[in-house]
Amino acid sequence: MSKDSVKIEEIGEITDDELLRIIDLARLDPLAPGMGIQKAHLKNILAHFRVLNDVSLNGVDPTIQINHVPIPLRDDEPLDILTRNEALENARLKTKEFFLAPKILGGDDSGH
Amino acid sequence: MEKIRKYSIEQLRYELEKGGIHPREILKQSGKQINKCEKDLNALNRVTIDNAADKFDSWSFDPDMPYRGIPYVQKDNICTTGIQTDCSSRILEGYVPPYSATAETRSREAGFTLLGKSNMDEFAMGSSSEYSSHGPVQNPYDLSRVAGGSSGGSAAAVAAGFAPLAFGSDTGGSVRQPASFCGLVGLRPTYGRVSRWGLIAFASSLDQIGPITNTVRDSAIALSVIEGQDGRDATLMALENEDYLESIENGIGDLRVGVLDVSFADWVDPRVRKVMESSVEWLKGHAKEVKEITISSFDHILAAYYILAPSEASSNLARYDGIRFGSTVDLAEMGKDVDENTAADLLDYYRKNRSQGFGSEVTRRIILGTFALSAGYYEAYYRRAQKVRTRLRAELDALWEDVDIIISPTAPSPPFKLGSLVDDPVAMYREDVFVVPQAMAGVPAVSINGGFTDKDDDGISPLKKSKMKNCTGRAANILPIGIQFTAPPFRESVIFRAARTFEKEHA
Repeated sequence: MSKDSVKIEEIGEITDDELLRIIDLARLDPLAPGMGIQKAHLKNILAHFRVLNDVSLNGVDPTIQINHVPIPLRDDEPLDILTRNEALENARLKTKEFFLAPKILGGDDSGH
Repeated sequence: MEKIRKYSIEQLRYELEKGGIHPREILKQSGKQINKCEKDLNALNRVTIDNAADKFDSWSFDPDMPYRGIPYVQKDNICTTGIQTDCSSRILEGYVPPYSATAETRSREAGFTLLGKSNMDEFAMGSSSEYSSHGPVQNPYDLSRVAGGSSGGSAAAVAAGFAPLAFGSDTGGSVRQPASFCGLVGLRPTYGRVSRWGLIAFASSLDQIGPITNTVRDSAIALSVIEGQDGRDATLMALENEDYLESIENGIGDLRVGVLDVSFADWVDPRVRKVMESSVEWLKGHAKEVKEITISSFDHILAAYYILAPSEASSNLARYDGIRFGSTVDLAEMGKDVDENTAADLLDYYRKNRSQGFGSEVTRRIILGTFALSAGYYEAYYRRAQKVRTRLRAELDALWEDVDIIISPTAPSPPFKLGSLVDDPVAMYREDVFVVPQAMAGVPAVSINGGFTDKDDDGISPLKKSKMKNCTGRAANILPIGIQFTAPPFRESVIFRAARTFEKEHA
């Protein structure tokens, strides 16, 4: 079977274990409040997507570009970018030079 | 003074230019309306009017800034230098952008005065403006109903007379549907006409900024202000800016109109069908030709959209980890030691930040998008949805050979009750059925008020207006119903012409 002919219904229902894998991939907490009801909603939404099996797509290429006419290329020159201070301004945890994150696998004397 | 509230941008500019009014009077009236209605509507995440009034101590009309002193509202996902922009999300709580969106900069350069940042569905994901960390927006026509979404705060603010202009973002109807629910004009420009620079990304191949106004002429003015190259959005087309007002009064006698066959959607409210039918009857007496059209993939496009938009969202929102901006969980509360963690702990930190920061609908769409893009599912979901998109575009391209413009409902129902769909995502998504195709095809569309219905009407009885007034100043028992004009790419001038002609006879 070619990849293009894979149909949604052939994948079958998503299992709880598979959903947990996806939640993990999305960097979300599977134990967060409300995640139980999310699973039910997601299964319902995915079931709704099966309507796409009814549409004939033989010979149709996937859209890769939404613009209706060719996009003009700009000059290959750098634009203004944020200064270090501007970039740091919205971080809750920071030094004068860096964002702070929990230390992993060793670190400097500051503990970060 | 009260009459200022109902003035269009054009009228205000005229009065300012001839000296019949001072900007402080306009801002005073806006402040009065905000004080009167905002506590009920919850349309604004923050008000900036206090800062604005001081700027007009020594004021004179400046033709280079012709709209100076006319207030506008900016959606809270459009960056405003030095003013908090949080997308109605906890994960961006306290975020103050160090730069402004192009649409914001151009609005300021034209003289418009920022009144406030509007409430919205978190990260523009929603159709009711109920998924907001600032609480739901109420509809000015009926406080027990939604204002539409995701630009519900922008629409409510214009409908309530806070300002004659608000900007929204339209990823899958988020300008047009709230405009419909609040009796206003809402424009989605062609993809590539307005820069997305500074618009906090939801789904980059779909996002467009558009104006919400009281009149079609104001919509054309607002588009003229924000459109055009800025060298910062790689998908922006190199177009000459158009003078939309030049042709806007030319009527529709030369236009062939396609009427979308909505028989596939048996859930469309009879009151919406009634407004559509009367609009089509009117068109038959004014347009060159009116004929029914069908789009075979129309009922599949909604499912395809709800695969593609979340897929792009899951990628765009991957940047929010709590490190560089927004809310951050306390490591100590997580039981972690800042000095002794593993890589697994860091991932746990990201997960906690993201799960604490994102609301339920955004979480749902991130999971959906991650699912559709993940190994094993990509071909069946994402790639298939992109093929549906190609097919829709091909169908529309063929249709433009036969018609110049398409009329359809904007939403399948009048504004619905707060809370009625919030726990049923599929039913909520279905509200977007008539506004998603234009976004998927990248074509322009405008929603304009098509008529009113009684809140408790059966769709048949004649409308009897109550003497009681709502926040908009209209009868308290009525609800607006929008209709939508869709045109080929870059033919905004045609939809403005059609909408203006309709407006003149139906306002």
